Amino acid sequence: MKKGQMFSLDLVIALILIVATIAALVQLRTGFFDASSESVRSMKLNQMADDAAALKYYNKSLKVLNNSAKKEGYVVFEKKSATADYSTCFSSIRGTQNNSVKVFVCEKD
Amino acid sequence: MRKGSISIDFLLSLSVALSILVLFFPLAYMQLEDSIAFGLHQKAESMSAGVGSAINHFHAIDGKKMNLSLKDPSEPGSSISSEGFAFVSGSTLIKPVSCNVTLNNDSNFVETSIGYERAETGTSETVSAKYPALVSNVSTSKNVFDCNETIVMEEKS
Repeated sequence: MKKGQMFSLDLVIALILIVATIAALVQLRTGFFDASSESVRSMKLNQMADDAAALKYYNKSLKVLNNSAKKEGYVVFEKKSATADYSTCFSSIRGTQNNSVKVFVCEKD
Repeated sequence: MRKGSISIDFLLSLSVALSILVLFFPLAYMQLEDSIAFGLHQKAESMSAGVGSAINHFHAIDGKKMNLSLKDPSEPGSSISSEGFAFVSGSTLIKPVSCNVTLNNDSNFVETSIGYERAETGTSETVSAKYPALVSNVSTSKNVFDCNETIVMEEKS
């Protein structure tokens, strides 16, 4: 350490490493919670699409389910709108090749 | 620096290391608490989705009667007590104090709410999750069920 210098280079590097480690841990924590939230959201939307497909396959109306879903920020479609812009959509198909229904559950932006 | 004396660098490094150690223990506990609380929220989401989906499928197939048990079937693990409380080194971090499932006829939602206490701070919090379900199409004896009860639902006449 030179005369008049308050801290050595080693200490400065050590401090930078400590700050970087803490930042990485915080980032890891945020990433963990974000990834977990995403997986639960996917599960929920997939399940909703499966429910909607079952209702449609057994000739039940999707109106009530859609009304409730809208309050939570989701939309249930029998046919996906070409113009609508949604960030995430999940689809589900039920039935045989000749007689099948396909529905979409999308998240509103 | 005189021979045998302790440098200021060493003292600063030591104080930084000690501060980190002192800081990290509560942070680690907080992280653990947050993770468990987050898990409870996921449990609420899963329960709502499970019950709601069962109701939707029950209506789809024109079911007549269904008994739906809400009791957690998971076996108590090494870190979970038989009551479902999370333990770390023998001490409870998060204690769930309430868990119920509400069937909302008016807005057609299944909502699960889990209330819990943080052992360290004693603060009470609640997590809840909703799932769209055709609740108005089924009849039940009541609308709010405890998480260890069984929902008996019948087709609405």
